[in-house]
Amino acid sequence: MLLASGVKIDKKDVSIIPVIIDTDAHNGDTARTRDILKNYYDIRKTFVNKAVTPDSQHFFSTPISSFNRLNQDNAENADLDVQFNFQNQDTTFANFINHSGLDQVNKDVIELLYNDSLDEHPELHLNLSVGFKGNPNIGSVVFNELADSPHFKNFESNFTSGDRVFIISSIFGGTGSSGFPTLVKMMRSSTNQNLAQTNIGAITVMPYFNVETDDKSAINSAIFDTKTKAALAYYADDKFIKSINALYYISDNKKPGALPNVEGGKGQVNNGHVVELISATSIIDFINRSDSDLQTPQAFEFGANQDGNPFTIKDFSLTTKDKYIKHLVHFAYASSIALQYVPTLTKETFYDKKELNIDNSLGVPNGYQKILAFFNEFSNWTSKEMNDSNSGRAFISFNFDTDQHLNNMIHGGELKTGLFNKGLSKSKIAEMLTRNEVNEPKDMPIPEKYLNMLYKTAFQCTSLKGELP
Amino acid sequence: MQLSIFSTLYEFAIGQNQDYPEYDEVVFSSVGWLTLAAALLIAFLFYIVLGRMKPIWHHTSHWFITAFLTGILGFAIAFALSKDELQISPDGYLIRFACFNLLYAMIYYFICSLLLKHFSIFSKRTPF
Repeated sequence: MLLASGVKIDKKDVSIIPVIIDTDAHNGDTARTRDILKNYYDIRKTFVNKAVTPDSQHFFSTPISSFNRLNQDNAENADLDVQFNFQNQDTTFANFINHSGLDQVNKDVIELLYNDSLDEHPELHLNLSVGFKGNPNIGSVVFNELADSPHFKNFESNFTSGDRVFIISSIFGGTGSSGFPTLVKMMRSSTNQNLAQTNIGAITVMPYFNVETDDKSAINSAIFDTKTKAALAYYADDKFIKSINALYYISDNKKPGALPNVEGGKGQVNNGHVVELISATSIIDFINRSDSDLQTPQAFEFGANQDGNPFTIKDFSLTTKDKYIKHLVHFAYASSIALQYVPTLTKETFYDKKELNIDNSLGVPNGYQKILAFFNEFSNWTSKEMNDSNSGRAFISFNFDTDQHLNNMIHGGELKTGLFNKGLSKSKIAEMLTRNEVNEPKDMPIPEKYLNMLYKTAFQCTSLKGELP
Repeated sequence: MQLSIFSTLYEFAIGQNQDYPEYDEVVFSSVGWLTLAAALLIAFLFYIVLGRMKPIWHHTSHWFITAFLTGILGFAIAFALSKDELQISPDGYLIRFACFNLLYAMIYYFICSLLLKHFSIFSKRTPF
């Protein structure tokens, strides 16, 4: 979402290669993430001119590419692959380590380390296709297999000087807490010196929500903090973790409410959370740091102006608002305009079939549906998911409930109006849209004109709004 | 040459008036030029002034209303100038002349629309 909003990356030639590593083959949130990354990729191909670079003032300005096509000339025309596949996932941990083939002594050692019962919380007999169910002691073994996977080997062999890595993980689950140190170790031990010596950034997300109590579930938020302390103690002594150039930490001690307790699979779809948004800013921060900045390993924590609960835009510092939140505000205006205003302004010039041809979905029905779906996803993410105090600390940011004006779109930052000043009224928005669209070059492809129009109009809305709360 | 263009247009529509040669000598030319200028001015106001300033009068329905008002103005120009020049009570010929000038005014407005719409912002695609 940050990249879609046009958050500025200070370098022209950056491309981001997202990689998801999750053994939970059907995880609902993983599927959602995959879909939105693919949508971003497709939208950028259709709506953004190739000359736009990450430091441009534009939505979707930063390219993302597939880890699977790093060495191909037609990489940008391929579909986006974002997930590493683990081999032999649909099996139990016992089969994975060939427990039945071990001699008795080794079997006994294994059974000391892992619960071999078949109750509701198996360890040795855990089916790996649903992830590690909060067991990093299992994950740390399985993850070692990643080094032999074709995906990792491809990634390793194509890693060049100047490339960087950023690892995002949680510390209180199974996959992140085991995968993170294993990944760092694999990279620092690589035979490809570019990878071994690269700048590595990472964010380790500590507990920020609770789950409902369920005795049958392997997930218990009462021990999240305990797991966190254990993992942090391990990290503190691990030479590979200590070699990370920029390690970011975040957590939230205010955790009202509780999420449904779903161990994994399709049903694990949690609402977005402001901690996740803030975590994402660490990636941008890391990319924007120079190599000299990263020479000495350092750690970072996030600071806000106020400890608001619920959290609002005014609680962020000026720096955060300027670097990140301002762009989300632009995108919020654009989303609202695209979803609620453009389809209704049928008599305006920009709507005409000889201009943007909105009735005919800009001439790219598939692309148009994707971008509207993306805007809709953004709108739900900000105004519904992060707004929900059942999922932990709520973040109240934008209000998309009105289609007559945008004066109240920013929570806590209402635009003042008067008798002769209606602010961001529907007619004002129509005027800005038409002016911006008509000003675009005649030979520009229609989808690019559409997104440019939205960007410029959203930018003007933000300017008219003035200072953020 | 200028006299004959408008004379041809009007006499084609309503025929010659043998009783009042002033139509052919004076009235047709002055009404013709004034009507054309009025249509151009109105189209200019619609497309260039209002059409670039604010989207308040730019829809197709507004265009049709403006075209109709231009026609009314054309009628009024023909009626008033004829009556003033000839000092007569309105007769059938005068009324027919005014009615056809209403139609010509709307046609002039349509032609000026085609020429000026591309310079507009909010009326660029009005009426098509």
